[in-house]
Amino acid sequence: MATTPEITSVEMTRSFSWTRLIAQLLIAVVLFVVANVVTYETSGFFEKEHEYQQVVEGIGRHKDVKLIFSGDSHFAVPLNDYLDENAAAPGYSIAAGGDSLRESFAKVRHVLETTRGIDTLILTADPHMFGKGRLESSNRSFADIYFLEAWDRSGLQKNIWSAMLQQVPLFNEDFLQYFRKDLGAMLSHAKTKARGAGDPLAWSRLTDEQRLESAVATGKGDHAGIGDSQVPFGWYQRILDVAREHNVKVIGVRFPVHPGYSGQVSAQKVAELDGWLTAHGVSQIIDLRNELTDPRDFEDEDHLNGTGAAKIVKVLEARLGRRIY
Amino acid sequence: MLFNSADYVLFLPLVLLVYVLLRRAGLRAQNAWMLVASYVFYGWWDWRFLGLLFGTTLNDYLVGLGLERTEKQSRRRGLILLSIGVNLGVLGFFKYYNFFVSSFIEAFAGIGVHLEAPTLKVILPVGISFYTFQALTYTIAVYRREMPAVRDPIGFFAYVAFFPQLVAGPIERARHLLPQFFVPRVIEPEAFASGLRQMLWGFFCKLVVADNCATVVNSIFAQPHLPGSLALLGSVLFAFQIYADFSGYSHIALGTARLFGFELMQNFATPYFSQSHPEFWRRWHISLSSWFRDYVYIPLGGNRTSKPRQAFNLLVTFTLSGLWHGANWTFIVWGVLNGLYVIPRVFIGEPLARVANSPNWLVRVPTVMFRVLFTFALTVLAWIFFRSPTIGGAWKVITEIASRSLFTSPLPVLRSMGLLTTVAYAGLAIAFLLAMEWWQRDKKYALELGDRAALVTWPACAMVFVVTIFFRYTGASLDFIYFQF
Repeated sequence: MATTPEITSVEMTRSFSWTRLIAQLLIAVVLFVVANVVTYETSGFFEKEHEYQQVVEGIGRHKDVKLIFSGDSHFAVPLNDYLDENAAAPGYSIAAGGDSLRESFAKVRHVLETTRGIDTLILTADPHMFGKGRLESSNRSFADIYFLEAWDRSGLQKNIWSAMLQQVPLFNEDFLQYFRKDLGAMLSHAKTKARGAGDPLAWSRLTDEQRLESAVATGKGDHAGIGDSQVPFGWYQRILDVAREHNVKVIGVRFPVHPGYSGQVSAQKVAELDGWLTAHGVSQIIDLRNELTDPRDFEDEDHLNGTGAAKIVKVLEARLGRRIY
Repeated sequence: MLFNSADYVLFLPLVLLVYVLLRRAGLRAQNAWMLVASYVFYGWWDWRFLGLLFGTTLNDYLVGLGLERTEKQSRRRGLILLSIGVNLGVLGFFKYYNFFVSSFIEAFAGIGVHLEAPTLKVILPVGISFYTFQALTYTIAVYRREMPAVRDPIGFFAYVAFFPQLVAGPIERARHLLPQFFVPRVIEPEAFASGLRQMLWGFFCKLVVADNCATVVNSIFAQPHLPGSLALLGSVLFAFQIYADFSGYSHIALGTARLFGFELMQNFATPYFSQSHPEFWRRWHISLSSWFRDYVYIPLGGNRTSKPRQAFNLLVTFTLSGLWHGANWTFIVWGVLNGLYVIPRVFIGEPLARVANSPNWLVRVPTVMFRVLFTFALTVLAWIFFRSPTIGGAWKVITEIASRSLFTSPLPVLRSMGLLTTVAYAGLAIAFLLAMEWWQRDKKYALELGDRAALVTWPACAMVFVVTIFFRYTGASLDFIYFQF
């Protein structure tokens, strides 16, 4: 603790003008903009974001939509191809794999405020949507745009300005996580391929034991911590409120899953959840978890495939007494 | 408001734009604007403590005027004691009240006397240790007649609350910073560019080095059982975390101030290249260590006393410096340890200094490397106390490092904690930091490139920018460590 070091500055010796500095800053800004454009156009992350938002905006191409589905992959995997490609269908799915109820709320509000004629919302009533695995969604930043559009900071991680900054590709934290993960996989030459990718019957080719084992493992993970946090209930309530504001009826639906999967949540927990849903404005709960049992209707333990989608939509049409497809 | 927040990205250009536009309106208008901006910056965190900042500043302003108006020594002494009392009283109440009360109770409990005293739920106002110390440099300077009292309240209030360094320093001397509020400030393009580069370097230090290290360190120190190898890794990474975090803040502060035409004092000068502890303390948190030197060590007698007395003065100074960092025995032990590192030099000087300056590089290089690594190792040992919540916790980490588990591989545990990639990023970031600092070791910061060719400046800045963008930590925003002090 004696004397401050004598470090002489040799900086600022070159002649330097404001014009030169501004020119340099402009070049830097242009380069940054170009880097952002290139990143946006070439990154798989933003391709996903684009697809995600296209699903929501695609409702505009469907003239007579009366009924929308909102939820996660349990709806999205079977319905987004089957239902959304039929422009004449009165039903449309805005669901996306990995969505939590926060993303569902953002999209439902956006759709109800921009699309006329919708009278029914088929909202996921799956217990796992209230588990700890759905407190934070990997689609978080994809849905930020809908909160910004509504000038609503309640769903944003920090504040509106921060969320706006996140819209700049290179400032987007989720993109960076994706980039780093991608880079790590590339460096370690890891190849990930989903089970049965490209083969809709892959699930049916497994033995009963293999299916059970897989379903139990996934079910355990998905259903951990149901009801531990009030956050999902808060978002569900907000979806119900926004539906009520637009005079839209809400029906809670659970799609078919493997019994090993659904068996990981107790009947009592499901009953408690149903009680909460009906007490807070869900007009009807349709539990179809055991409706289909043929493995050929499934892509995996908790997702129907195209065949299953067609079947379940028919079942649902019969239950509701109205056309969906 | 945090420097590493989106709010600051909006705040800074806005404040700068208005500041530049106010140039025609005069210095007072610019100072008033800086004052408003600084209070907004501080109030962004918690507006309730603006009153405290205002109150202590007003007290020091009035004390300064009082000191100038009276020649009577007893009255002057009373006034300076009032300033010291108010500043240290506020600091003591908010920072140390609960610590001293609970320590007192525990001490009596140790001898079987059970006392009861109220503890309070006190929130520590951000930056209180910094701005109270900075304000004191003013009243003490006026008391010592080293500078005249300031009559313009706006300039003085803007000096105490100057937002770039309000919450985490550097702790400026009134004689250095205050006059800058009363002379026209010309923003030169070179200085502006230099400010931007220093900010960029600060963001790299904070977002890439400190925050990636922090993720690993926090996870490691949260483990109930640590093998020695992991404990050592956590401790070394913490050494770089705290350095990059705090020096990063200082670089952003200095860079920001330079954009407005202010020059703040250098706070760090590549401390981990120090070859001894006295040198380390001349390079680490320079504004605080020189504050303690000027206002504690020298008044105690400094170097102009017997060697045992010098040693005592050093120990007192370092202990107080430890206590300044926080109301916890771990900080006091950290301070005492650093004092003990420095004291031997009072008696034995620099035994290897001549060898370290040998013209023969075969002798010089190994000697310098040994001295640097030895100093660093002792520093890391002290940091363990700084990082641990209790002395027992620190001791546990040290005993693990000294055990045979030091030779077990930390990789399986890191893999199970999902930290391998972050450790790799942190390691690469540290290597980059050290390489840049070694390359630029005679400069105030690693991107001080004004004298180098554009062919070097541009790629260097672009590389730091790209690394910062792509390898910054992306979890929940982490506060600067020194905010808690």
